[in-house]
Amino acid sequence: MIDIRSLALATVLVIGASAPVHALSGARATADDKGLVTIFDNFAHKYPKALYLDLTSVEIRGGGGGALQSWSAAPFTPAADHVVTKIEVPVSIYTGKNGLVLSLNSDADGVPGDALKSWNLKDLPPQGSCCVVETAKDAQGIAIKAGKQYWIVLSTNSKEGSTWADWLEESEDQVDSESMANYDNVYGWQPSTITPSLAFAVLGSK
Amino acid sequence: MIGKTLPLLALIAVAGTSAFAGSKDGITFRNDGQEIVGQGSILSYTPVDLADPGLVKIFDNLATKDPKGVYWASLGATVSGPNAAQGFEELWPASAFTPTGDHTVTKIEIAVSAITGTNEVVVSLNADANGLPGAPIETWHLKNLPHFLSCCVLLAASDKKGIQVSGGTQYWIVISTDSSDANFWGGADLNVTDEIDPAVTASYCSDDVGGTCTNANDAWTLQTGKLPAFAFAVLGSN
Repeated sequence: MIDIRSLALATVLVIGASAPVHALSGARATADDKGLVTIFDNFAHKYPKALYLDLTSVEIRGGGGGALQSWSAAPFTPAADHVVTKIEVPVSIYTGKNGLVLSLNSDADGVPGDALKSWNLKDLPPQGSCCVVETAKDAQGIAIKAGKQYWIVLSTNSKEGSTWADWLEESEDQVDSESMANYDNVYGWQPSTITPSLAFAVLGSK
Repeated sequence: MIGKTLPLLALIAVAGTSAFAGSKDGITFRNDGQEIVGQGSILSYTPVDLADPGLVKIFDNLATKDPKGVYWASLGATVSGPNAAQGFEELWPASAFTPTGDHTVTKIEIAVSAITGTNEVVVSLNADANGLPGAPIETWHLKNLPHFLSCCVLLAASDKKGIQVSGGTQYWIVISTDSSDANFWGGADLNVTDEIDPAVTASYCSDDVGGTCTNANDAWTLQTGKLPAFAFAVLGSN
């Protein structure tokens, strides 16, 4: 027989506080999406009580205290010229400073380039909070070009070194691998793939 | 990808319990071993045959509108026989359903996957006993389970004659092991249609052979709201 407990010792786990095992709450606010054009969207709208996998994620970490900094990015390529006015991402906080930086970035040789616009996200929900999504808005809008790759980036700023958050993954396609990029303070941005892909939506106008 | 799911592992390790977690073959278990979590890409994809012509849906939490995401392929409720692994307790999951009307059950579809051991589990339709799984009404041995981290194979348990169920009465789907698959270790993949409403679920634990049950030994414990229910459908006729 396999001694699972001895294997278990090799896996480092941070024991959390007295958090519930699965705190179920929340709902996606979609009322103000009316009239917006969907530029990219991989939320599982057919199942509004499971818009994304609320227990499957990648980490976003600020890297304070000597820990490895870890940011993530997901690409999208608009099929037509658009103006982005709203971005939605499912993200939750595990510990540390409750904030993240969300940005829409250009592409630089297959990884995120310069930020076209950045937003500070605060008051992130706790883990297991399906189906809350964080929104970033720009009333003026950001023009994007058809056929060009752009990136949605979740990172941290200098005040968010202690942040340890999660970017949740999509549920409707758990089979196909998608591109993404990871950043750390040793190697910078590196292209990668992920299955399922990171969940997000980009909305705007034509 | 760096550290995928680690924060969630941390959350789910509840303080004050003998939170048992670890990993094997790239698969992590957490929440006192009651969940298995896969990391990495899906190992294989098999389109599911969802055609059930003429059958009434008595209960259904399968995400059939998303054929590449019918269930949570990387997160399951642990199913382990008493001899699955040294030092690990026997664990069985159960999910409840309550038909809205009287029906005859002729087919149960369920997402169960294997990791190690004899590739077989016991699936049963059970009566309710004071809010927990009671006596089995019908039992099936299901074989040839897909490996954990596969999508989107459903196992089917059929009964041509049918099993009568009454509207408003709670029943249970139980996934367990017996002497023919006592070394099985796998999981019942969770549903991806409802992560919000507290699902009525239960877990059976026995540490007679190994491990330590956090809750009662040789007994069912209600787990409602701790996790989404595992993915299954109960089909039949009016």
